[in-house]
Amino acid sequence: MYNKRRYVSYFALLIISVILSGCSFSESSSSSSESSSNSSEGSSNSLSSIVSSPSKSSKKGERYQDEIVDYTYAYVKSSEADYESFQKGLADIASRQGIVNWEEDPNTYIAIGKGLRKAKIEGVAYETYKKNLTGADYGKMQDIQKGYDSE
Amino acid sequence: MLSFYRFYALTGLSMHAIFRQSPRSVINFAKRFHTLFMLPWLMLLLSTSVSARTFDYIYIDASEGNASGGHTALRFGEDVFHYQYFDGGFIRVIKQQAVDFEFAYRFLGNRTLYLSQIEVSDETYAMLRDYFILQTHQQKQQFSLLASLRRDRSLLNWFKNFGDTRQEATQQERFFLAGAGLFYKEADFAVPDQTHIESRKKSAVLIHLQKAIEMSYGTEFLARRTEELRNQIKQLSPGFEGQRYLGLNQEHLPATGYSFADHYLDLVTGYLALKVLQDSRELDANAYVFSDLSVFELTAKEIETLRLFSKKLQKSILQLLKSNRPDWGYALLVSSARLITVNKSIKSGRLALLDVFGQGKDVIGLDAIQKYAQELQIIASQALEEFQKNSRALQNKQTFTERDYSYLEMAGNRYLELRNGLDYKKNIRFNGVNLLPTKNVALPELIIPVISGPEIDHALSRIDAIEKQFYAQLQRAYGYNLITRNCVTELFKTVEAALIQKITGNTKEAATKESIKAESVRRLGGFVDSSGIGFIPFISFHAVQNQYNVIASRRLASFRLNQLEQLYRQENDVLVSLRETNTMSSTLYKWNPKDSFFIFFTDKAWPLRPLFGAVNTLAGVGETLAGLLSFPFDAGTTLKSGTMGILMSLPELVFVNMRKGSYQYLPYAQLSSKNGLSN
Repeated sequence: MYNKRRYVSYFALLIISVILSGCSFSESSSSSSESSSNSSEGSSNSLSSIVSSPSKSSKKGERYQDEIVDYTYAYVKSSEADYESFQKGLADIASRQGIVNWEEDPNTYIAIGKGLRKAKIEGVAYETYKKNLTGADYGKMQDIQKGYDSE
Repeated sequence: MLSFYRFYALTGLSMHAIFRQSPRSVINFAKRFHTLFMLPWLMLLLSTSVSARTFDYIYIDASEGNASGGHTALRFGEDVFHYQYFDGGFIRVIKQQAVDFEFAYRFLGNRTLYLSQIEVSDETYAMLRDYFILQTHQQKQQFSLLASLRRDRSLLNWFKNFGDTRQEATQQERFFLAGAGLFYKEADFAVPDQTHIESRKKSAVLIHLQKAIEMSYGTEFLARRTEELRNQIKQLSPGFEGQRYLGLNQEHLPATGYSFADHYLDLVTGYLALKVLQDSRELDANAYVFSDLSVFELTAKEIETLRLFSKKLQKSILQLLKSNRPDWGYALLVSSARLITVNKSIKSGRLALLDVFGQGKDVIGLDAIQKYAQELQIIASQALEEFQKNSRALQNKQTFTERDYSYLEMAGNRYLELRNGLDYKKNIRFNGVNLLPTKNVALPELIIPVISGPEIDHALSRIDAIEKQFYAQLQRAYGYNLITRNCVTELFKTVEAALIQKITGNTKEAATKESIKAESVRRLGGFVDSSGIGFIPFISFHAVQNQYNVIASRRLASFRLNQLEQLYRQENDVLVSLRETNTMSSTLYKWNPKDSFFIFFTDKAWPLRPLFGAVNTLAGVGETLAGLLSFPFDAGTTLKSGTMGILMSLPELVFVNMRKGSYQYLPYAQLSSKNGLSN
């Protein structure tokens, strides 16, 4: 009798779960994308709310680098080289970290170097990326190399 | 190694059991034996643990509304990956910071999280994380491509109907220029085809900057650059060869490219940024905030830091004028606006900050301010702490960075918004606060590319054809299905795909089901099949517990249950139970309009669940009847709440709880620092 009741409960639970099982809705799915330069599809954070997570100041720089490393890795692994679109993505990440002048931040290029290494880009392909992503700026190419060698 | 096995065989211990323990448990185990000869083995075990890493499989229990079946996610360090439902019927992967994920689900959503800590090798950890990163990026690229096609079409239609005011109302999508709202109002562009925009007031700071630009690049630079840009915009062509958009491939994507619409919007933004400098235009009066509060007063040392920062900003602006980055115009607008506010701060001795609230429509209205006064006061105190913490960066002028300034700007905005709302009983803007200001204006009819009608028609027909095909491919790849493609199935499919990539490597040989299983067992300790009933979140959680190499499990109680446990420790159990089991007298819950109507919480009192469920069902029926009467007056809000109340109460009749009640406003300080997702 007890078993029968338990099975009925399990069955009810299963049916209800099947009927109502649904995944969380994306908060962003209902928001409008008024600004094309500041979209952040595919990643989400609560910074835009008046109630925000306490910033971990010591980790801000690390987080920026990590995001760029991941982005560079994913970009060169899965997309055709398109430097303007790559830069738009960089600007998007930088803006979420409070950086507008990302070209002047050496961390940007160090992280790009790390990302290229992670994606196992070597030889001529690496040199081409290095040159094109920096506009052949010597200092920036040095930073990419620094990041590349550090991994 | 053989003697290692023999040792555990002799002591009657299962090696499997030992390996499933955390390093801390292993140390406790060693302490129990108090034997010196254990030490070498202990060292060996700990070294194994050091080379291994863990990630979490998270099951989030069911809740009302859009996640009635529960939810699942994977946490790798600071990042949580989970699949969410998007408009258009798509299911897509999201990467979220662990602290934000926890706040959204455990605290605001008031749902309990169950974690299974899975131990894997460093290599497997990196392989899985990297694959999720890749998936996140790929999907973002693919959906960006779809969005850019749609933007291109909207923009071309706008060009096509240019000057026809009747078409404005039917415009599919309005375009906005981020950052331009710092200096312009829409009324500034009221005259069509205005080729020069007069500035009523000049900024002394920008007059000074203009001189610096002339010294660096010559007196004609700004005028020449503006004219060049104007011609560039005129000559812009959609140029839809189209081929690059075709062929959605999971492994290799077409480049998203720099879309026609994005290119046009960036160029117009750049043009307006140059006009700001050329006209030494003053900031819009609503673009910055200024306060009499004492915390905004600056010390001499802080002013010195801002002086140095002002010089850095000026240098950045000079470099941006030569930059090739596509969005240099936006960067120029923000940097110029900041240069003005920084100099206002230096001059006045009080911090002036750009308004960093975007176009978010959610506000905390006066009723809510009254209802949640206590919570909002805590949030305001916390915002003040954050502001003061960020202000400390001003103490060191050498290390003060642009990022420090952005955090200071945002923290100052948050605090002022809350303070003004609470002190002067004004609406509080709830969403849209950014680390960089995005104040925008609607795209004005300023400079239009010279494209002929047939050219536009041709581009539009190409876009239609490409979009149709591309959308169908996305639907096939990411269309949501309750059973075969949901938040559970997609997590495991991604794990499987990562394994398959490892099995096949560069070979074209397909992986077999057996080889995938074997690889999963080798790397994760077992194999989880999300087909059958495995698509249900709580069943998948048990499958992970049984199959994978789970070394520890944790339960992170929902916000209300967590607070309830504290109350039980502080007060009389019976009184707490009587008071907190119902929504009428609860001190831990205030009815959230997003929740359906209910009387009793049933997430804890499971023996009474059917009884409480019956009362909740009756309450839902009552609310539904009231909703039928009030339908003409409240557009069906009460009716919806009542029917959802019934739906959420029925499972309680058979001991199943879904509804927990959720929260609208909670301060982050409520996050438990000792036992959280990131600990």
